[in-house]
Amino acid sequence: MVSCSKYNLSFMTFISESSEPNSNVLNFLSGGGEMGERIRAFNWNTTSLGCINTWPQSLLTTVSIVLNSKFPMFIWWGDELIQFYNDAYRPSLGNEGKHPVALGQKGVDCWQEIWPVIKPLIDRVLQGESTWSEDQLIPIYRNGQMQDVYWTFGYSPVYIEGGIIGGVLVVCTETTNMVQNLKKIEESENKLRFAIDAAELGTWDYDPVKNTFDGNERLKDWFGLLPVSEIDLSLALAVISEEERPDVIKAITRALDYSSGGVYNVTYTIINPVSKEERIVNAKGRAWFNDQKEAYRFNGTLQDVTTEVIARELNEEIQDQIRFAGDRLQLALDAGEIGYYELLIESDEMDCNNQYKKIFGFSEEHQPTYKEFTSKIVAKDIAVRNKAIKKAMEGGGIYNAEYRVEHSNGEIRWVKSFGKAMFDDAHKPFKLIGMILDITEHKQFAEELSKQVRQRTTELKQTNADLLQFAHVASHDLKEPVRKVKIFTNRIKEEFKPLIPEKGHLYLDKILHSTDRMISMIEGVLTYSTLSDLSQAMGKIDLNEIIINIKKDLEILIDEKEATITTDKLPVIQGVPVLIYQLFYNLINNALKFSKTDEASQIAITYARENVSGIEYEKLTITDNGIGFSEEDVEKMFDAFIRLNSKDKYEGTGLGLALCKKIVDRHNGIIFANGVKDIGAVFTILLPLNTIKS
Amino acid sequence: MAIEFLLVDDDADDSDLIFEALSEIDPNVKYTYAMEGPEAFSMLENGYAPSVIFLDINMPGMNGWNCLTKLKAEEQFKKIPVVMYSTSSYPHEIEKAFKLGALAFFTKPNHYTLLKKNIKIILDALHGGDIQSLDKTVLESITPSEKKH
Repeated sequence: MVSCSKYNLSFMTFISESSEPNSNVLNFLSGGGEMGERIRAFNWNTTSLGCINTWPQSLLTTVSIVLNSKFPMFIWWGDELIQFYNDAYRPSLGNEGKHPVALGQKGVDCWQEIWPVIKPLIDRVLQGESTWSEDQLIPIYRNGQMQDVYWTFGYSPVYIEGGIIGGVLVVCTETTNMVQNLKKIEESENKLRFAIDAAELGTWDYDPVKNTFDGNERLKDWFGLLPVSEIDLSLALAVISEEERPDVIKAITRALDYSSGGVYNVTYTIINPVSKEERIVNAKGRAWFNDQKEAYRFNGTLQDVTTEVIARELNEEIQDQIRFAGDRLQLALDAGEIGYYELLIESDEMDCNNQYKKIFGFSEEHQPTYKEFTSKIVAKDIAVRNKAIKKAMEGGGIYNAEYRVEHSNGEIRWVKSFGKAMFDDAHKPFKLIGMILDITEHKQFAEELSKQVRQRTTELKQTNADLLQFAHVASHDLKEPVRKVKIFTNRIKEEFKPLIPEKGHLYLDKILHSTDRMISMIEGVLTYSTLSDLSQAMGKIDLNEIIINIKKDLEILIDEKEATITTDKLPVIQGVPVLIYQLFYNLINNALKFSKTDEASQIAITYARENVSGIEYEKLTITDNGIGFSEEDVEKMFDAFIRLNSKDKYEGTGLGLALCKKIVDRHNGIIFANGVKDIGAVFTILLPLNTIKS
Repeated sequence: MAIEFLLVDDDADDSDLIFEALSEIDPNVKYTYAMEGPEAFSMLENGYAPSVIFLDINMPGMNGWNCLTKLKAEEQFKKIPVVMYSTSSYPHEIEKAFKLGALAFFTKPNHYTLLKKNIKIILDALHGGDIQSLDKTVLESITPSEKKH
């Protein structure tokens, strides 16, 4: 027993002479387990509270309540906030920590680490205000370390004699475990949600009692449902494809029946009502039953199995196809009378169908060796065939050959053999697979056909040549009489001038004009027919020179039209000089002829290289500012005897452009025209750099 | 020495025109006309020696090309100046004529005056003894007004 000190607290109501706790005091402080004993045994004289006997009634009463409570409680008492606590509180201090030092200790000494947190709370309580804190994290030092401890606690003021506050009663409970459990639950919920998310699962929850349906965001998205919770089940069911809906309803009904064990596993198609997107889903879940065997909850997951289902269906289909492909191939080979073979290259081992044997003149019963087959190939064709095989083995692996085989009865058949060599990892061919066709009839037909084509071509060429010859002769002969008409008309006009009245001269002029036209038309036909004469030799042509000569020949017309002709530096090309001259002559002549009456003619000849679909061309253009032509005229303007303008206004044979086209054709070139009515025309000539064609 | 002028042409009108032109230019020129090649050759082989031959190209049977080739192939005729006288005006025919040894090329004109003018050029050259000055000449056969077409 410890003695009481002589010095007592100011608020003590009476002073006991004895240093032992008197019986009245002990009555109050009896029991209380370990902490009861410790309080009774504590030398309170070392504290500002002094000897227990001197404690005010209010303190004794409070300590007594604390000691007798099974609820964790704690007291700060007096100015120095001297501490008391009960057995229930004691575990909160941990092992190797504040217990038992905390008993009788000053608050500030005991709770150094959290004093800044709790001191303000204590001060508020000492002002008369109670506090209540729930699951508050207050880390304390215990069990040899700082620990996160959660508390739910209330601080209440303890009023003592005189209405003043003597101390603070702390009723608390440590909720660390509960909080940590809650955290763990939250964490595992998060993990589950994450797993559901990661697995791209939909989740659903059906309340059979309320007939309401809910799901996670994904599921609602799939079902095209609004993100509100709790929708009527029928709305969800409506999204299921019509054919499968009755089965799904049946499966739900069964799962909700206790006898089924509540298991639910069904696959069906949903059609998103908004996007019309179809999705095959697998729903898994279970129903939960109460004691009355009534389902109170039915929940589970939904997995999008569209890809899997499609892949599975596709795979089944492929398997089917493979299964039947063999049969069909056999059928097709038979129907097409196609021989099929596989040859192992190392061993010359040969596998073939009956048609193959038949094509080589063997019976079905006999299984010839590879050598037996090759011995049937006609001697002349062996080299061709072996070359093709060699090419396949060394090159891309494709084998293709036509050769003859001679049957035992001496019959010769033409065959076409295709094959593909297969290579091992070392790029060595190990197998040749292919087909063979009897093409005898086809070959005979083709030969006959080509003979006929040759014959017809010769005939046609002859006819064409005859026609050209006729045109040539006819036009040549026609020229003669016209020239006579002209020469004698001229003579009449010149030699009998004074004798002929003015009107007579007019008529003679008309005759002359017509003969001129006739001559130029005949010239045109003559040139046109001459063009097909392939004997005219190709040569090097300096286009610059050609243009200079043309300008010279057209000098009068150029002067009359006050024309300016600008020319790029032109290339030297390959061609028939006479024809190329004619080509540019006609085009420049046209440009002059079809110039506007009220505007000086301007003609530009340009040159550039151009690549058209891989072929290099010399590109020459002749641009004028003449009367032009309309778009619809372009197509027909290169045809023979087509005139776009009336002959009264513009002289012409209707052959000029046809000639140009023919000349360009002969040089394997391209000519085309662009024009705008009343603005001008552009003629473009493309001549390939390599003009000569076989 | 009088000029001997030979025309080989199946066209009698052309013959008349040339005869008329020759008479108007120089009445002393002796004019001979052969309607076809063989006829001309038979005259030549019989010793006839013209100062100049006007040779048409387009003739039935032996045409002007054949005649020219034959003339230039034979020693006794090859020196006779030959003027190809044809309806044709094609550059390749002109080229061909010169290649085969023709002296000049004259496209039958549409104007009598042009005919006269060119015949005079030839006669003048013959008179001057310098017919070779016309070597490879293409005589003008169209008037400037015709050129426009």
